[in-house]
Amino acid sequence: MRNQLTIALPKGKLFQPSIAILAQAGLHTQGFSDSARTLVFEDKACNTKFIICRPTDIPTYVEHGAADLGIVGKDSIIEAGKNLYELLDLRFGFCRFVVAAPAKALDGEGKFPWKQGLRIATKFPAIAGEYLQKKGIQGEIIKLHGNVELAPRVNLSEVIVDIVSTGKTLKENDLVPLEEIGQASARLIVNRASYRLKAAAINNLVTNLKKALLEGGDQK
Amino acid sequence: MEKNCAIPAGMRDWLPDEACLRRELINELLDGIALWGYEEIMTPVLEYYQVLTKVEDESGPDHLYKLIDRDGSILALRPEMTTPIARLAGGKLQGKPPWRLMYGAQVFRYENIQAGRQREFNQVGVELIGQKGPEADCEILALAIEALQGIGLANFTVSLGHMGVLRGLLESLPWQDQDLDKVRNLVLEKDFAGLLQFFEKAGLESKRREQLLGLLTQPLQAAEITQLMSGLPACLRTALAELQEVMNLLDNYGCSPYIQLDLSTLRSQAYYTGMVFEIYTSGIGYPIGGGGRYDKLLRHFGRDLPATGFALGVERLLLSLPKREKQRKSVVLFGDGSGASKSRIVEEAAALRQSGRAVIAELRGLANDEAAELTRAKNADIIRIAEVR
Repeated sequence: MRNQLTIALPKGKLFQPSIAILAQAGLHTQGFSDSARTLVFEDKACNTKFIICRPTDIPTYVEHGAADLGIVGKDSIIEAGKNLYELLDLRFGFCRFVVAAPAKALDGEGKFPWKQGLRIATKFPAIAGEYLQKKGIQGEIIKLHGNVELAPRVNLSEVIVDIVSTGKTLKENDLVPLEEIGQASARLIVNRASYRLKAAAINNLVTNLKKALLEGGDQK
Repeated sequence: MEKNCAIPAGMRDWLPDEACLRRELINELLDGIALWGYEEIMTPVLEYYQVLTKVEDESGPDHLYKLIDRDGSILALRPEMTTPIARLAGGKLQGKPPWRLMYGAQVFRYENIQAGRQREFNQVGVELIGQKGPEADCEILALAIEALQGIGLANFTVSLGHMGVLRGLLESLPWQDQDLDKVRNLVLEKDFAGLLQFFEKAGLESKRREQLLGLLTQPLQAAEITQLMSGLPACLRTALAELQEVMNLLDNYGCSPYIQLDLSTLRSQAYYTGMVFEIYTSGIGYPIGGGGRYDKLLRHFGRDLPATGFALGVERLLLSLPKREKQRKSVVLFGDGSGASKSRIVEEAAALRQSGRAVIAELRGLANDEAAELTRAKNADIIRIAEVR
């Protein structure tokens, strides 16, 4: 029991690539699913337990040590502001944080008329707040939990800060990206106590994952 | 919400059994530490804001509970004990250093509530002030380990690092302050993936990248230090040499099995200058204690003295320890309420207390079943019926 590892896996679009890279690193994750009722899987041969969680909750599970390790997007890590070790960039789930505004709000030269008191709708208040501060604009941040692209259409906000992977959603909603403020990809995070107490098992996994990443790189 | 019975977020009440266990644990720890010649001190819960923020860097939130004194000065609840003790040592301590000091005290931090840590929590700790060198650092580490052994904590690991590693790393990079700040933050946030990316972007050659990252993330054996030191910048070499000396001395105490050299161990308090450590136990995702050397804190308070110390989180220890039984159990004495039985009970109770037992003396007359219920409720040991003959 003491040396069993618990890994938290994110539901949703990061799930399949997560179990794929873990399988490549030698774990028996074949057949795991994030749509089944089961939230706990076990790989007895490798003495590893897996729990399936909402991506935004993964930093919490790992910070408290309920899971030793987790795979989650950098975006969720930044917003959570937790005390964690980020050991590896797993190089999938790439996306960008962008500030976007409705196309019709741009002036004749295609520039956005920044003004004080502007409202930003976002799922990422910490990132949006930091951006406003850098820009020297006092604005109002409106925290939403999803479908942020709706906000400018119904006059809830002038701009949005959101995460974009292909840009399709923006286009469909007549939004244009104004600025990229950061990038994110999936990370391997570790609880700080587990990092010490289960050092051997964790280092072993990290080594195997690094190998898997290198092999994946060659194939491309 | 109705506030009549509520307490502020992050505060907690301690009910009879819990309070007793906490008091017993604190006393046990302090009794053990006192055997090493450490003397207890106490400082006020409230300090001047300026005192507490002397060396912390001003950027970012400070996690302090603040209030305004009636004369207009800003006060804050102490978030830890090292700075108040440095203040006291700077101005008030008599005689010559070294001073060996210990405390068991409540501290307050306005931060997210964590496992076993509310915004008010208890720390037991020590400060060894006025002594430089590996001997003092080793004493602090051995004392922390023996204190934990003494209270019956079975499995724990002390991860040992050195602030000089971060300093050396920053000094060795030929970059602008702005970039160095970025690197410092990435290291303190333990964002090794981000650090690697930053190094790549900054054009650091791959061999050097791996060397620096390996230093922070690779497990390390004491025997490997010497080999590792070649090819490192001077500041890093000094730090590693210091750790090596501490490790060698620790062998005398038989404490080495508890130590894990881990150069990613860095404490966030700005006052640490030398070796630093954090203590982990299975089942708790946070350190249960930590400490290190702080040679530049006392100069802010008028005495330029080196110092080293540690603090243990009492609430986290209570969570980590196997469930403890209260050491003190009471005895219920009762009678039929007659004058004669009352004086018998008082007499008996006095005798039992003399011998160290806790006694609930019920002078009012109680029926057997009433007395039995009271005994059960108080988890008391024996019922003594003081019969009148």
